[in-house]
Amino acid sequence: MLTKEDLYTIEELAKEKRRVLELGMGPLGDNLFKVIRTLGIQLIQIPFLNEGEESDNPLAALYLSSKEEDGYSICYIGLNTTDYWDKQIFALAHELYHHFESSDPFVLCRGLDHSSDIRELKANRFAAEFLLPTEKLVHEVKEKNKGNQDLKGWPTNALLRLIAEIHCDYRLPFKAIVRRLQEVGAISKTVLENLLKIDARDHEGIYYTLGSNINLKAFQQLNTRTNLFGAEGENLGKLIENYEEGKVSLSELSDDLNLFGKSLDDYKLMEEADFDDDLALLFKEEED
Amino acid sequence: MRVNVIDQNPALVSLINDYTQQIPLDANFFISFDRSNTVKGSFAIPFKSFQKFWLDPLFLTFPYLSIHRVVINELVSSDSRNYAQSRIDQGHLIVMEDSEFDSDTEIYRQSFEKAIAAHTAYEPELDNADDRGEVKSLAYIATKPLNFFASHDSRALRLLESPTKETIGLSNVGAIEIYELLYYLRRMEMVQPEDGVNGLKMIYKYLYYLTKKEKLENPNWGEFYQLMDGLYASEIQKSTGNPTPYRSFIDG
Repeated sequence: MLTKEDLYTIEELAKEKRRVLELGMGPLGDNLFKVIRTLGIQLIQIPFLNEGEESDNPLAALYLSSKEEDGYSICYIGLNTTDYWDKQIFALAHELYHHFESSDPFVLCRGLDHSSDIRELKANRFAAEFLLPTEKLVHEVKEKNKGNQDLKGWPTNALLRLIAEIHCDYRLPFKAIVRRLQEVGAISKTVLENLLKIDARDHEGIYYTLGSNINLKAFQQLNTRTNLFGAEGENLGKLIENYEEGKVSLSELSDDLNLFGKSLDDYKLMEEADFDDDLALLFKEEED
Repeated sequence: MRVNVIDQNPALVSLINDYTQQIPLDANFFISFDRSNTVKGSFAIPFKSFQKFWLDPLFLTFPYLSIHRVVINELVSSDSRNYAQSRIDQGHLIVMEDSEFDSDTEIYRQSFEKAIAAHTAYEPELDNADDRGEVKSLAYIATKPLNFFASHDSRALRLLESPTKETIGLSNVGAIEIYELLYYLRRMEMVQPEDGVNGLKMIYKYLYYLTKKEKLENPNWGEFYQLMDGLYASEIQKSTGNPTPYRSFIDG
């Protein structure tokens, strides 16, 4: 369990990072990807197949940093894209904590839901705070509850509608929002436990129906496993810059792009053979 | 890849002076050249031609070609592997084994390996496949020590051209490139007068003069040969130990 001091420190860290990155206090959503790029972190998406239960997911994400000789460091986040989109966003924010806080150059994060490791709990708390700052959550609750922070007495259906709105706006997974509501004292532990029993991914379930009616496109996207593979265009752009600056050969670039399922042709970099002379001698031996 | 016809390569000069030195080869010397990944409209040279115009003249010329054990193990194509193995069986290709070193020297080898690996994708602790052949070969060369590494791999060549090499035990190791050996084979008449000479020219053209960009950057074969002569002909004339030219085999 995290202490009050831990919670305070993490809340302040999230606020400070939002301030430094000029993010304001509003929803981040997909802009988190831009944050990652701004920080110079290389994002690599990997559809790492999960053969067991979701809770046994062998990999949610990993953070890796490498210190170069000149003190320059290269940081990577590997993201498992077999997870749902909202969990991927949460995992990215979770890895940001390791980026900001960890002196460990390699952090492997398995399923984020059930970790009891203190460092992982802190990273989860940071992710939730970074994506949905406490004061914004309290504001959202008070907005809907005539200025009151306590949602006591709200029917489940109304609670689920509120959660779904926050879900669509802030892109935080259902369970994380429910936990946050309990942390800020908006709901009791009993209500928390009851809400956590709901299968929020069940297309036929009440939560999914309510969420789809709030913002169909966003809600469906949040519940999609993207299974993307590769690096973001900007990161691959760096590889191409290295070639253009003569740091790597075309053949090395081809090998590197291949790692991300891309080819030179995707970037119109394939050179064309210019057969103004006869190379036949080299190739005619094949028929002999 | 660019050919350098402006500066003399001290490694090639040393080889011209004594062609019987041991020359460690990289894996890419045994793998049929294939630019189809980077050049549209090109395809791999068939192994038969590769052997006839490249490998056979190379083995005819140099008595002490060598290859590291891990490089042999990494030759995936059966043609390359069989060729290397048959040359080993015939005693024409030396296998560089790390087990040759006694325990004291092995410590040096390991420290060279670690220092060299730091500049590559190879991690000695993990023994991953990336750059393993180059790192093991170079660590062996540094420990022995030997004078050359012959390679067509841009990473290995970059390493041997960079100032970094001074700090990782490779200060006296020179890189020998394919175009330099093509020139040497031609100059020393180590190929058949007709097909063989054309074969060398075609290999040069395939590797260095195939695209419009390369035609702007690199000289054609005739100019290349002349420019290389300008750099090395006097060294060749001075040299007393020359390999036996192909013509002598026919005449003899």
